[in-house]
Amino acid sequence: MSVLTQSLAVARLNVMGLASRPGSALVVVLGVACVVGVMLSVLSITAGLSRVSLSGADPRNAIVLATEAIAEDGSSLPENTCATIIQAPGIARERDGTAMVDCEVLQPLGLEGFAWGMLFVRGVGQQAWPLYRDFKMVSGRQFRPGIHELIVGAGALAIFHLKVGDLVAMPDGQWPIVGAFSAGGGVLESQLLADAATLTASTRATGFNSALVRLDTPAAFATFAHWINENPALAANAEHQAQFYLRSVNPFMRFFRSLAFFIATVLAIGALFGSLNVMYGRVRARTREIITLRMLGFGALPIAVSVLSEALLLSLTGAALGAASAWLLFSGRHSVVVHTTFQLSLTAHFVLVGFAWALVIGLAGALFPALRAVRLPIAAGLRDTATI
Amino acid sequence: MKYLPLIGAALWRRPAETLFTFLAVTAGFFLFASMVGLDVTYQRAIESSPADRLIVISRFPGTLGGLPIGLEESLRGIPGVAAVGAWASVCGHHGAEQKFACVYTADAGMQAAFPFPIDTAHWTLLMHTVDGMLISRKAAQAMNLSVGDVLPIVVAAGVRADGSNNWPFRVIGIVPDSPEWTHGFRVGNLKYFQNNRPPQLQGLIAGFRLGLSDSGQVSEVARRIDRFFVNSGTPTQTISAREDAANSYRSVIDMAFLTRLVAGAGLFLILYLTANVIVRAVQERTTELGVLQAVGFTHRQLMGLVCAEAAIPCVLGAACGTWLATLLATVSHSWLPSEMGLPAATISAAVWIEALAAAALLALFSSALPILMLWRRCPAELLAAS
Repeated sequence: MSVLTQSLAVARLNVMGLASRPGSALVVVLGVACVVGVMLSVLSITAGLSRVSLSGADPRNAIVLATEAIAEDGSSLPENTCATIIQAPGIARERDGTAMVDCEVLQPLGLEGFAWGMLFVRGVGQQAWPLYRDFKMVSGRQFRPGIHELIVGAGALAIFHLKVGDLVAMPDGQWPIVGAFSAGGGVLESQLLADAATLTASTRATGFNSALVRLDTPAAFATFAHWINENPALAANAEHQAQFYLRSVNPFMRFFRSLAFFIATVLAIGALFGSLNVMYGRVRARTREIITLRMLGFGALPIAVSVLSEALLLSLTGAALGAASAWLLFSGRHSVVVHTTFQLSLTAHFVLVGFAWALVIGLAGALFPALRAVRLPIAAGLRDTATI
Repeated sequence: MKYLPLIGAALWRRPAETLFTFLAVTAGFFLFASMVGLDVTYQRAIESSPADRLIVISRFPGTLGGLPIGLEESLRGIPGVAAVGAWASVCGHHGAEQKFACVYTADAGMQAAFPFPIDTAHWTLLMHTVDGMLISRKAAQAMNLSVGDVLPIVVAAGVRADGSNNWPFRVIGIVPDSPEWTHGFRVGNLKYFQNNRPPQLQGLIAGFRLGLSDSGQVSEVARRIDRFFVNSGTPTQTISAREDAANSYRSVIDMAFLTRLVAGAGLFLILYLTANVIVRAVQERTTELGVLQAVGFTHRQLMGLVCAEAAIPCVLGAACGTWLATLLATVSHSWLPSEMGLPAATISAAVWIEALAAAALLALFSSALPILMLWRRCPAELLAAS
């Protein structure tokens, strides 16, 4: 028999015997499931934040903020900014020649049980709708310009327990929520929307927080940004919309990614020692079987392969169980980081990372037991398995 | 004590197995203690925020960009208010890595209105040094600042009257930390903030902190303040400092849920592993246990032996894991990202007790199945089972 045939035969024999020892097999399966499940659960926060940042952002969109402003709510642009920005090169235009620029205002709202500034009302103009990709009303109706009305995003609906028909306290009275919208799962869904001019009048705000601009092509950004950044009439900077959203959540993404791998590393160390225990125990229990196989002419490699394949099978089963648990318990759940609502999401990339970790735990946990198996002294092993 | 050699022999029967179990338990409890310790830090931060102090902010901050400082006198006149301090924050980034930082500028009233751990001499120095800044030890260590150093905060355009983006603060003293600010704090002089604001924003501040004459009237005074200003040009929103802290911690995921999930996963991992090891040890030693029973050991004594065999690696592993978590907590403050607001874990006596109690419970649950296996089996059955 070739080495491959021998390996397959011994591995098959070994795997078929797994049902007779479910207890020890479950130690490896559940250990790896814990590692992969917890790691993927935490990574689903990172994946969700990344998705929400990229979903609503069009590659042709740029955002203009005050120089050195870290976030939109900390940016203040004078009233005449819009008139200056529309003169910039590279801006896309509607058929009637209107520049696709929307100057927007943000008003933080306080909600009981939530930190101040978690929910914003965004004031947008009528030219905003083509700029927000995948924007559509999902219930109720659109707000009317000049009227005290709001519409609510799907994320804000889920997290802040708002609904169509609710009244929201604004400086000049209660504004009704007349509709709910989705925006392709983007950042906009975390907010309430209102007519910019009406909101500005109500809050007595001066100027804008940001300007959203549609460019002719993504390549036009460099010229546009240079014109904005170098313009002495503007103390403003331009940035790709997606890049801005990603920059806003990046510290959180970095943090949760590090946290996921830290937790997974510690749990993996625990699972690895558990796996070592089980696999050494398995080799001990199979001593007679292994020695008999060696006497029948089976080589050392097929024996080692059988031990490794058993550990890998158990680890991959654990990884599948962990990934399934994380998906069932967390994927699609709404969560919030500061003022960005998002859905926890499991990506194929992270699932593959989880399986890779499982493979490493399985291999590392079975390597030394496999070496022990191939080095079993045949004569002594037949006499007394307890000494091995 | 006379059974210790028996327990030792049982554990040393397979030293590698015992060592691996101990190491797995150590890893599990390291995670458990770190997560429970993190939860303790959050709880302490919330609890250290005084429930009897109020925070007053603008209900619609966009209206003017904050509250007029002129409200201070009106607030002092509201029944139940004993002290009023105004504040505004200068936020931006600093250093080559452009890390986010805020300096909390306050007026003289803040000393009575809010219990910062700052002595009178330092408060007086701050109120007489316009560009001065007091920094707590933890923050000074993280930012590598000492007395005399200057911290330049880069702010957004339009924040300063002179059009500059640079807002420098001079360190004039290093003061003790407060559990409420888990990463430490920086306090500046409100006059410095006000003097440098653009004309249209002069006189506007972020809010007020209030001390009360009767700590039992927090809700009533808060309602009274909001009612007083409801029809003014700047309606207010008044909440207790503790409620504000609790809301802030909830604004970044549900960290309490996350820490419990991870701590639970760590414990589950150990439970199944230890239980499996003990079951196998009992199965492999049925004859030995039968002999012990034959020479007079009672069921209770045998069960005690099995329990002790499970408890020793569990309790030792829990102690080692918790000790490692304590070590990590002492060094982690230097590399945990401050912009996240994530503090270092607090491995308090309560965390140690929780970890050791969890270890004892784990040992008990792990040995439950083997104990059931031994229960009501006579020596002959045990010897025959081998």
